[in-house]
Amino acid sequence: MAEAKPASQKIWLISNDNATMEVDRVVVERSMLLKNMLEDLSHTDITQDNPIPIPNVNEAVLRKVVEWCEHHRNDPVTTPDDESDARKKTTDIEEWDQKFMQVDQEMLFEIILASNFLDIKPLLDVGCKTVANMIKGKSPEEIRKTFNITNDFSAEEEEQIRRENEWAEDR
Amino acid sequence: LDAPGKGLELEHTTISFTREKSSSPSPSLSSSTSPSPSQCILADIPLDIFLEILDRLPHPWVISLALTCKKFYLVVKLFYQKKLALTDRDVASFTMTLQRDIPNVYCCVGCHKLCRLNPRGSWKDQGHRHCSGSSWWDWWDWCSAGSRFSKSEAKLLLWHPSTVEARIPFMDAYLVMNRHFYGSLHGTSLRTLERHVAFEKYIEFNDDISLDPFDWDDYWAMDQRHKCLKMFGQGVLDRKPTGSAAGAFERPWRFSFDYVPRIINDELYIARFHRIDGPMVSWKHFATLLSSIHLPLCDHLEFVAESHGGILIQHIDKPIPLLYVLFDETIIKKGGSC
Repeated sequence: MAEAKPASQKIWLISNDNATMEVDRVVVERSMLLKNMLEDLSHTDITQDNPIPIPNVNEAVLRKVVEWCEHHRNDPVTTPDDESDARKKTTDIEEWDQKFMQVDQEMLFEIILASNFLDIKPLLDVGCKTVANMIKGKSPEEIRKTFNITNDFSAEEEEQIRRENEWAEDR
Repeated sequence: LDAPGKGLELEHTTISFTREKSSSPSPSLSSSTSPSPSQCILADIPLDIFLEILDRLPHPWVISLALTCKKFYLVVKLFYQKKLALTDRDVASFTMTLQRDIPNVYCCVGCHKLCRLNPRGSWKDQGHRHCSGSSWWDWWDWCSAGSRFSKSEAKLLLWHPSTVEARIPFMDAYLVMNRHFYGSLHGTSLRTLERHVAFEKYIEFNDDISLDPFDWDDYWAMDQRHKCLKMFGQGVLDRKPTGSAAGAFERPWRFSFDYVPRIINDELYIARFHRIDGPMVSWKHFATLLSSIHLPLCDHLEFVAESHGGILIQHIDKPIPLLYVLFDETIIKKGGSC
């Protein structure tokens, strides 16, 4: 039988660079991975001396992820139905999340990877939408500049692609 | 994704996606070719996250992303092509964007195709000028006649002084702004919007013109308007008539228009200087003259500009405001941004 969860129960997490963080259980449970893990554990199993290891995430990224979870601690849990195609196509991001995602690209992708690993779908959604917004409205060359992508098409390949896309040209 | 080791060859490059065990980390978009874009984090993220990003991208930008490098091209082709269903709007968005990457090319706003640009000419010098789509835009300067007056206010038959030389079609302004935003290989010079037009007309005013027998918004009714103009004796003639009719035309009205384009804070402005010189007439006739001149400028450019004709016509039964009397030499109008 599952144990009752104290409202203010604390959970300790340790990043891959050995930084320990104390976080409310309700905040930690924004992560489906950790939520399922905690349900299988006794609340006494996790202590300051025995924190949950987060092997793929360093301290800076983990702090950002926890910050996001803190802000969204009272949000309703998303269901698979919420992951509809139409909702994904909306690239609107609420203001707080927009500011939260104003980080360098490395951090942005680290947050996306962490949210994927920790199974925090709404954060993954915000991260992917942020990247999508960085691409939206840009030409291929502008996207290359934004993400430092090397154009590795040969002249022949470019010609091949051009032939495939003749519909776009007035000949 | 379920086919381990599946690969696709494009010339000498193999891009492989591997997922050996379900518990292993997601496959990444690693390439076996060099140079590897090590600085490009987007290329190193797991494939399933990359596809999540694609799911959140409107289709035109999925194509844009696909055209950046081989990896993304193949990923989109392999995993996303079936999802891509481009609407006309998508095609327009995509080609409008693509024109920024290709020198000496512009996207026609009518047919949304990429066309070769002649950067030295204006819109009339572009080979694509007679595209059915863009010619519709080309007509906008004519169509704006309807927007200048509501039907109830239409007390005059409009006439077009020197429509060919003075008109500024939307495409001219569009190409100029393309050059401004994307560089000299992407559009035409600001000077293509300069105009100096001078001409003479002989005009006979007629106070008895009846109101609104036509649909004034209908460009195709223009012919009828000209017939009506003749019927009611409001003569607007290029040459002084000879014979008995000559007495009605004292001396010609001389018009000259100067258009001076400027781009200020990324917005296009066209200052228009108009000089009108003619025989002495009543205020009412002078007002009706100004009101009936349709100065050709495409609607898109004119939206933010106030029509002096519209103002004058409200004052047609009152003394003309001093402002307009003083401005008998120049009436400065601001064109809209594009």
